[in-house]
Amino acid sequence: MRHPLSRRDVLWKCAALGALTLAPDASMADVFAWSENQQPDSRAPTPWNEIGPFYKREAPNVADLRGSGDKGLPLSVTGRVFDTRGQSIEGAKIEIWQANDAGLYDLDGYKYRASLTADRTGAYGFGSIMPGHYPARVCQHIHYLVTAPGCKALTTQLYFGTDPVFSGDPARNFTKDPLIQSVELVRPVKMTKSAAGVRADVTFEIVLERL
Amino acid sequence: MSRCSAALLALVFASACSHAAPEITTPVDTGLLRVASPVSSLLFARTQPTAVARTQDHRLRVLSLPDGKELQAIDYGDRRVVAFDLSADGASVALGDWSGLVSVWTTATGALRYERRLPKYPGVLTFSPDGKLLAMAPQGDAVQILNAATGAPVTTLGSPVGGTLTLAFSRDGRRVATGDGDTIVRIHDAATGKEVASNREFLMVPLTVVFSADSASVFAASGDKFVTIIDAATGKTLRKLDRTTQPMQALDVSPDGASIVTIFMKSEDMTQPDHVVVRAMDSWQPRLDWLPPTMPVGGGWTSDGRLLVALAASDGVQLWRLH
Repeated sequence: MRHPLSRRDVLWKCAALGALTLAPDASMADVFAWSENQQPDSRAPTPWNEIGPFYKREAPNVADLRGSGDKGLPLSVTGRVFDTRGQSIEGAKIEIWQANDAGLYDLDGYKYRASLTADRTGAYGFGSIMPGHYPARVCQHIHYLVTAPGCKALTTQLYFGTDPVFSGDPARNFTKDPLIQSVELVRPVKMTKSAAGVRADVTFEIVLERL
Repeated sequence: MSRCSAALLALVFASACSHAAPEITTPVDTGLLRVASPVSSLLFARTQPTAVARTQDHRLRVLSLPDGKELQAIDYGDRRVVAFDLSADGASVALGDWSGLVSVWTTATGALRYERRLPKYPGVLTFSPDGKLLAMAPQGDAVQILNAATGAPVTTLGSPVGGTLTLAFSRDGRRVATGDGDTIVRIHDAATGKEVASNREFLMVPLTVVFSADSASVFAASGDKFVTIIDAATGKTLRKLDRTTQPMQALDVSPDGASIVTIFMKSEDMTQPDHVVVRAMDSWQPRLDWLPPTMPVGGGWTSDGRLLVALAASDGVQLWRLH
């Protein structure tokens, strides 16, 4: 499997191929230190959100959570998993769980629960339905637990800009749900239409902190 | 396994085969406890005739029981409360808000004793049974245990994935059980924070943990919808009780250790009430099964061994005696 090169790998390769040469008083360590300080691809960690009471381990590795005939707006969520240096994290484990269209969680089985693995570019994706409003919560949401070797585990939640709670202005109204402490977790929704009907597309990128 | 736990298990197993159906009692309406402002939540001190009501005018009202006389009114301002607890002797009350600020007051004087800033808002605040320790569980972070009198740090527990959602001290104060986001029940030394045992048999996050009266075992329940009895020394499952139709959000053992109350959660809508069941500890047979007409605002075992549940009323709380 081909791995994307890290910034340090690129610098080594440049040095090996002559694209990078060093003055007598400079070392590769100096170059690496400069490179780290520049952090052109640095990303802020994804804001944390609490895990909630309904996490269930051992969810199946399925990318399509919809069953035939399930009610609700079809939803496609895609994204990539990075570290704070902007490097994609292959093999990151993304566990998701959500309520159904009526706002109910499945406690007895694994409906609308999945455990996904990021590919070599850190990409993940799943098909689902727009979650309903769970009565004890303000906003529609999907729970995430993301883990990867060498990184701090992240629990967070994905919210939707189209949620009526936000009255079309998430930046102003996201605090209507006290659990949302960052508007970054409220993602725009792109509606698409195909022969199968209307579908909501959402991109949610995850940034983990290195340990 | 301790001798007490072995005896308990023997009784539970025996009862499953031979116990006659007990008489189910009904709750008794003991009347109105008048409070100066509508009550958001209410806690009873376990060893003293004292209660604290958190009221909608942003005050903690310290009440004597049974007369309901207001002893103190502590103004906590416009803070949005997420957790609060009253020590068993009623001497200390702790309150935590969404900003992660935890305040502890002396109820006798209403004086603020100290404040602590947590990295995240607390999901749980719990005093030890002797009132000497205060455990604070910031969501998604490590539990901190303080000297309840001074606020000085005593120890910090490990930091599980997802943090700690529920915790309980043993009655002897030596152990702390936590229900953690990674679905594990852990038992820690309360003085050092060291993990001494764990139970990994839950699939879902434990929502409530409580020690038996002899501190030898832990009762834990989760969205898995059953109660597991865990050996506090080894973490091994001693018994898994019958699956229920709803999860339990709270378990509490009576002061004499003879009864346990199980408070169910209506998982499809946690804002609505579900059944409260009082069981005999020795047989696990229900003694009372009650569906409150409205969501309780509080309750607990009182100093005289009663189990009271408070329902909000326009001018206070209606108290129902369940045991």
